[in-house]
Amino acid sequence: MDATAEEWWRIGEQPFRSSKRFVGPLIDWVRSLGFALFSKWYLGPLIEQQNKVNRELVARLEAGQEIAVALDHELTDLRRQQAEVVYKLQEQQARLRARLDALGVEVDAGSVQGDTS
Amino acid sequence: MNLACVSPQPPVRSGVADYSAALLPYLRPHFARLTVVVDGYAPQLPPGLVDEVHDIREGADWWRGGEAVPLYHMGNHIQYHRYVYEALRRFPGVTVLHDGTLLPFIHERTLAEGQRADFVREAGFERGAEGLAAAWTSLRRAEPLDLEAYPMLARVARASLGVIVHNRYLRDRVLKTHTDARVGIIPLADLMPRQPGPVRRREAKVSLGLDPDGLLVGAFGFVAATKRLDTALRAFANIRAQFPQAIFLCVGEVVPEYDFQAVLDELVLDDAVQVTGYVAMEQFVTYLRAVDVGVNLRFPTWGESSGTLLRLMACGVPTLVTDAGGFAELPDEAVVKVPAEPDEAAAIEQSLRGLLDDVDKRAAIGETARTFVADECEPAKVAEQYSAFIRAAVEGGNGS
Repeated sequence: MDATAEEWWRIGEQPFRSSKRFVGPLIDWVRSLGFALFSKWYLGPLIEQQNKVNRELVARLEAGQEIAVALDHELTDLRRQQAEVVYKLQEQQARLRARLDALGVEVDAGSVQGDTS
Repeated sequence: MNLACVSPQPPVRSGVADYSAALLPYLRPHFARLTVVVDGYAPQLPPGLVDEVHDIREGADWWRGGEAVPLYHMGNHIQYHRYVYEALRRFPGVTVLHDGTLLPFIHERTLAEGQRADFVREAGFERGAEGLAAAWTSLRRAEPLDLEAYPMLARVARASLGVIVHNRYLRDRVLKTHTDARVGIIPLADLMPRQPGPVRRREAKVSLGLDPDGLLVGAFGFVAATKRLDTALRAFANIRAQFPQAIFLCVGEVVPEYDFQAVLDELVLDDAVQVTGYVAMEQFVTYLRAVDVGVNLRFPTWGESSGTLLRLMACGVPTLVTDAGGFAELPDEAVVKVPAEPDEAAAIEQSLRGLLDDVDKRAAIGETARTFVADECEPAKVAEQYSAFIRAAVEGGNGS
């Protein structure tokens, strides 16, 4: 959940704000009254229902992101581990080649192949 | 072992490029084969120094299945270090970290290019669920992430076989972001061209057309707000009457986002302040050898290294540094440490006055600095430490 506990996804009733001069406040009062009498009983549960859906979706999206981060960490670790193995093999190969050279043995030396990409 | 140095190189105008190039001759004897990997230009390096130059734009085959261990030099400049960052993620190697925060770099790489998802991904990599939430909040409110809490070093630390830093402060910052990182502290190498005998300041001043008897205070490198030159110049203005023959030199380019001219206009120091703009390395070195007192302040600082400070010290110049970050770790006798705010201005004024007034004090601090650099930062010794650390990182040992 958001570290700031800011529930940006939550919807709620919006205040009525008329732009009419002088009569604006009256219009707002009438609309508020009408909403309270005729709509609130129906829209209230709908808003709550939508908030439950939003909360669930956000939780799932956050879980998805956290999984992606964990996979990113894992991929990074795997690439590093793979590189470590590849470099070690290269070093061993170089040492072996040097020893064979010292012994006068000719080999068809193929390089160790690897790709962390 | 083969080494591939993945770093900006001259003619790129960057301290990291200069440093990386200057270190190459010392690294050369430690590796069977040396490759340099650049991004879209021909590097200016001594002939025969490297076995191969590879342009990253021609493909990733420079890695050749791990035949060469990459040595990455990572800094904050998006244009110079973007390919370094991308390569170190794909082909893990050893990374030299030149900056203590990569957040500005990450901002440039993601948000500046409209890549919101990448920004969230980076913050998530750094601090998990907390980072993800902070990134979304940052986007929603159009506020930057906190520089202290989000240094964006975790990916470099985790992707690398080892990380080389130049001070304990930065090592601790790296370990804070990824506790399992293998971090080695290797001093910054002194890469000043060798000059036999003591530094001849008078000759250097004359060659620059300056009064050989005049006192020179010098600040070097990019002129930016974090270099605290406005505070230093205010202090200089306050003591100007006492030292009318003194000149404050700013040797380097003013960064575009900093209105340095406004500072100069406000202080009305006229000819007592000279800003050279970018100068070539040879002239830069002459300026370093000419100054009597150096000013190398940095605040805020995140543990970044300062090549110019090392050069000043190598020239035996007593230098003012901010008592913070990696600079605080320098020996007290080798530099003059001034506290960061709120006592910064008074401390700078007092220190500058004390140094300009006392030639013996200048000589004593300068000599200690020069000896310190000669003992600790000898490039061949530093290269040896690089080689040992790289080998240990590959073999899975400690090496630090």
